[in-house]
Amino acid sequence: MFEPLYDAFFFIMQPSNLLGMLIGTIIGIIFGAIPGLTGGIAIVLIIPFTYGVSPLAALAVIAGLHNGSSYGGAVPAVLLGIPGHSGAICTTFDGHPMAQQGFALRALKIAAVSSAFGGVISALCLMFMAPPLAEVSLAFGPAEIFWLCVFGLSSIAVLISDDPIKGLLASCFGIIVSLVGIDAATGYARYNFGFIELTEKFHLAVIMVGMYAISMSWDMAQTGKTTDIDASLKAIKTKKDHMRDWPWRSIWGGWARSIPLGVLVGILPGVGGSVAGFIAYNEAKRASKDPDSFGKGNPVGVAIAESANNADNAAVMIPALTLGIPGSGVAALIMGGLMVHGLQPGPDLFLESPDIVFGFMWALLITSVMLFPVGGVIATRIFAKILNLPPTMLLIIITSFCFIGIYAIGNSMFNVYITLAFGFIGYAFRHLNFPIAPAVLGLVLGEKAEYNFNTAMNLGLGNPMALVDSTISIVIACLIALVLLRPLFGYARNKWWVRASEDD
Amino acid sequence: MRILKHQDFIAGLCIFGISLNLWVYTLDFPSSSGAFPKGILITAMVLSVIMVLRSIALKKWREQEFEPFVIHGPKLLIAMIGLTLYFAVAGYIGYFTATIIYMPALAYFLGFRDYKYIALTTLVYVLFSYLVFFHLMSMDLPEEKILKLFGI
Repeated sequence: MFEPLYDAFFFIMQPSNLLGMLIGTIIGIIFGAIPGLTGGIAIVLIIPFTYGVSPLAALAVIAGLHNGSSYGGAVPAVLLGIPGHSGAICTTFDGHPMAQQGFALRALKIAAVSSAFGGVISALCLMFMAPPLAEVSLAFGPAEIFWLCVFGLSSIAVLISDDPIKGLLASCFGIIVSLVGIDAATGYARYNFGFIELTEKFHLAVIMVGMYAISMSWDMAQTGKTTDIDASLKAIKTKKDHMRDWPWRSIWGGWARSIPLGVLVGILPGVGGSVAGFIAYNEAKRASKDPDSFGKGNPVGVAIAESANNADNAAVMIPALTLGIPGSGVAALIMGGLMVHGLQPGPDLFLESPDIVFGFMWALLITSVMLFPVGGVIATRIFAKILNLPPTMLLIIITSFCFIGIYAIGNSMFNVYITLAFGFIGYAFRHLNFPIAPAVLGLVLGEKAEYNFNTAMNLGLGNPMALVDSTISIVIACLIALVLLRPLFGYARNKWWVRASEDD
Repeated sequence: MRILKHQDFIAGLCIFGISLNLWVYTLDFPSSSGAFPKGILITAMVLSVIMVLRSIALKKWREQEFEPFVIHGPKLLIAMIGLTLYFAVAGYIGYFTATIIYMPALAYFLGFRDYKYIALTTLVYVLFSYLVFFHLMSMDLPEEKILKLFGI
């Protein structure tokens, strides 16, 4: 039964494939670390270069890009508070405060180890549990995915933000932005205000770069500071961070919670990607004995965010390889890479090309392991040098990189102008204390929520009870109610405590 | 430093106004395209009303202190205008040409006066971008109209 896996291991360990994995990982980390450039763009750019090589070598490079870019987004998230991609948003919550407190090296290493561990577990799930996990993914229909989207939006808005009202408003903003463009169901152009360019949906990177990187650069221009990170620089240069000093018990507990969630979210078609990190972070915070420490430099927050983010890397390939349904946009690109090399994703792929399929799974595992030496040791020190730059030059370089990243999406100056516009909006968000993360998640999940809502209602012939027709739907809906009522419970409990102590 | 008082009150009113306008705009959508956005916009209007009311009625929100909206006005304006011009011009004259102008100019106007550092950083950055993104990765960037005149 495991013979194809065993045979594929020897294929993937050939020097050319190992080199491909290493190169892919390094390029992936670089792409992930630059706001606007994502693993998806790297994969699209690399595919033409792989025409002349064997399919397995090409997939080895792609596996490196996929895992490397997932970790790479953590580097600017920790050092600058700018997520390199949407999956690293949760890493900013605790990673950047850690850096501000002088623990940048620890945060980056925890991110690398967590990414590596999450990626390894995910690859093992892909290798040994792909068929049964694919069955689980089939249990999630449109109603279940709709509730999952609402759960993600409400929990991030309420649990992450200091102000639930502003968090929910930010989510509403993100959802409305996600609806700009042609409605896939009716073909009607929504909120384009007569501009033909607005008939296309906004690309996530365009919004993220504007709201995070551009707005942050304007703050740096005013303050002349790289977010008080000088103490952290010294820590990277002179102080060694010892892994034995890490809060291992809490980190292991965090991984135990976040990695299965990351794998589970990753296997759901169309939901994977950045959502895994949000849901895992929310759940960990909710279940923690010290939830208030999250968002203030808790290393477990970094561990959870990065492990969940990377745990869905291989998991998104489960429905892609077994059912031919990509779990995320990047999985769709990887499927495209397979098809370019004459391989048709689906159940037959395991029978027709087992050495390539299982070789790809090994590549995902090996590149996850590579993340620690390449990402945690080498990349950390290289990227930390960036902070030696004066803040003025750093913000100029960041904004220049942003242009490249955004222009690469469709070679469109319109996207560049939209990024600038969202820079103004992001600046307003920052200075009016509106959290940006719920807005980004609204952008990710808004259209998905609407599509699945409409599909569920159509399948139920317009009967709203179709939305709560399964146990999974009811459970998720109850969780949403609990999350939304939590602030009220907290307020009532505090009032009761005050009254009780006054009576005493 | 300018501190914007009552910013929740003002922000809430603005959000309510924008949501209401969008909701009216949404009335022209076909029912299947308009149902979901209308629901979201109504939610936004309700939340913004709650935000406005609590900023008036509740002591905690009434007396809340805010970070200044503008920390250093002139530098903010320079950064915003500089970036806007850079993005606009890069599309016309080419990315590398625009970057060679943008980096030293913005550094100078933001008060950074180490000219050797500026020159070195600009050179290293432009070379790195050219070699990695343009030459190695063959990424498309706006056409270099001025450099083309010199045969580059």
